[in-house]
Amino acid sequence: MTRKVKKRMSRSQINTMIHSDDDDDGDDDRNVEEKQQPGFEDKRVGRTSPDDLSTSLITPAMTTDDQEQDKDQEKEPISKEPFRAQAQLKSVGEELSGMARLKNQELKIQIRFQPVGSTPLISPRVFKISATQTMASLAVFLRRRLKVVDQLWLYLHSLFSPNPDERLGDLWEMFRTNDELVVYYCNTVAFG
Amino acid sequence: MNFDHLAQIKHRVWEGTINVRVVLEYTPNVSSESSSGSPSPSGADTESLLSVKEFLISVYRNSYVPTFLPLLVEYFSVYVEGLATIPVWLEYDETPLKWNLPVGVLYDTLTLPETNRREDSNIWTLHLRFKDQYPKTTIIPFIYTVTDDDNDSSVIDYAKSLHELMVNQLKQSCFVMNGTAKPMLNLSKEDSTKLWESIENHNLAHYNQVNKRICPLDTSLLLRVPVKVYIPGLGQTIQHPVSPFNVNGTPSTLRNVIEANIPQLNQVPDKKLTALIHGIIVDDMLDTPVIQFWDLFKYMDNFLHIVVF
Repeated sequence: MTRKVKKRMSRSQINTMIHSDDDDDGDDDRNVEEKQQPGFEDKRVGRTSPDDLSTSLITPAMTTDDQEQDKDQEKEPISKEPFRAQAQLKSVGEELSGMARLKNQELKIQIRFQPVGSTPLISPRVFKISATQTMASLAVFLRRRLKVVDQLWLYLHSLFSPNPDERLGDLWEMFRTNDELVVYYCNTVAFG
Repeated sequence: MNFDHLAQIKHRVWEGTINVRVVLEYTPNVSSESSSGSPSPSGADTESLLSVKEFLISVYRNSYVPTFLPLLVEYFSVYVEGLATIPVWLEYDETPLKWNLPVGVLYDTLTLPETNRREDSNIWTLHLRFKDQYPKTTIIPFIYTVTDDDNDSSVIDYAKSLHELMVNQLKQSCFVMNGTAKPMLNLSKEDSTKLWESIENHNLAHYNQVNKRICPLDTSLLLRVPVKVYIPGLGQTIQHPVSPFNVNGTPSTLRNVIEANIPQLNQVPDKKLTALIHGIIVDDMLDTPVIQFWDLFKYMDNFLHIVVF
């Protein structure tokens, strides 16, 4: 139960903490402003984001065309082992993650799309989508259906916009109306 | 515990911080004279001529990444020209930080503090990224810009994106608590502004003054408890409608809430659970009513964020 609560810091104190490791340039070669750091490599080259942290974009209702686009996005080369900390984290949460993924796995929920303002209509308006999908995948699905490249704002109860990682099944259980999750969508901020 | 003790706990939760080291890797502008002395052919060596700069900052657990991104951008702009005009993001261990989650939740899910799994116990090292394409499928993009009067350019407006997020999260939790978002919608313009400024400036007194109008007068009047559950590596947020009381009238415990969120747990009755709230291991308190946790340990979006594994 120990928990360190560090002393409060004012902004000025934070600024005095600003620190750069610029001073390792004690060499004689004044012409070289910045020298190459030995053993340093750009970790971002060839990097792949871990599957479990990126949002799955494939919804059951997508066409094969859409799915192929997704595959293209995933074609980053895998060039290195995942970091130790990340591998550890994954194993720590593995058992429970597996259980959580099973939640409402068989459930297909009904979603009714409702355009707001000048946003294009979607036809049909009602879809059945797997409860394990997230808001992020719903937004991708909707954008592709409407052929909208810009951002769409999605709302529940014409009130609020859930986070992209939230599961549709959970949102359906919490915010449904007449067994449907009504999703309002707009090409601009509709409900501030 | 008396009222003073509870207020003190709330205060400490609000003021809790994490020491963060932000690392910037960038390619400095080397003059043509000095690069001519380099043995490797130009073009190939621009990638390898990386410099590293650091920024140390103490960050509130109960806050969001965009509140301190402008500070980082301002400092690092000396090294990267036009940094303020492109969206930046932070990474831990090559994982982009989802800025829509509170800093404390990010830290807890990614490092599991107090469980001896961290490499360095006292500082969280993050990387500031700006060069590669923004990972917009993983984290929410920053889409707003504001005109910078100093040099007449449009710079990324991190505060506006956070403001939008906070309003939505507060309305969501308000709906969960009250069955309606009216308390939030009925706030006057002044109160809404005050609430946002208290979030931006981390002012607990001002925050409480407005937030008490969104929350029910008494925790026993909660319709449902706003709870979000995270599992390390899952990448999804779990939530479930949980009443403060069970059907038989007994208070819902933390264990009840976790089991409602992950129903498959019922099939493994002897499963050892570890739960983290604000970085505190609460395994021994799983049979405590969840309302008590919610009241003391909710984040500023009025959700109780629980990390379980």
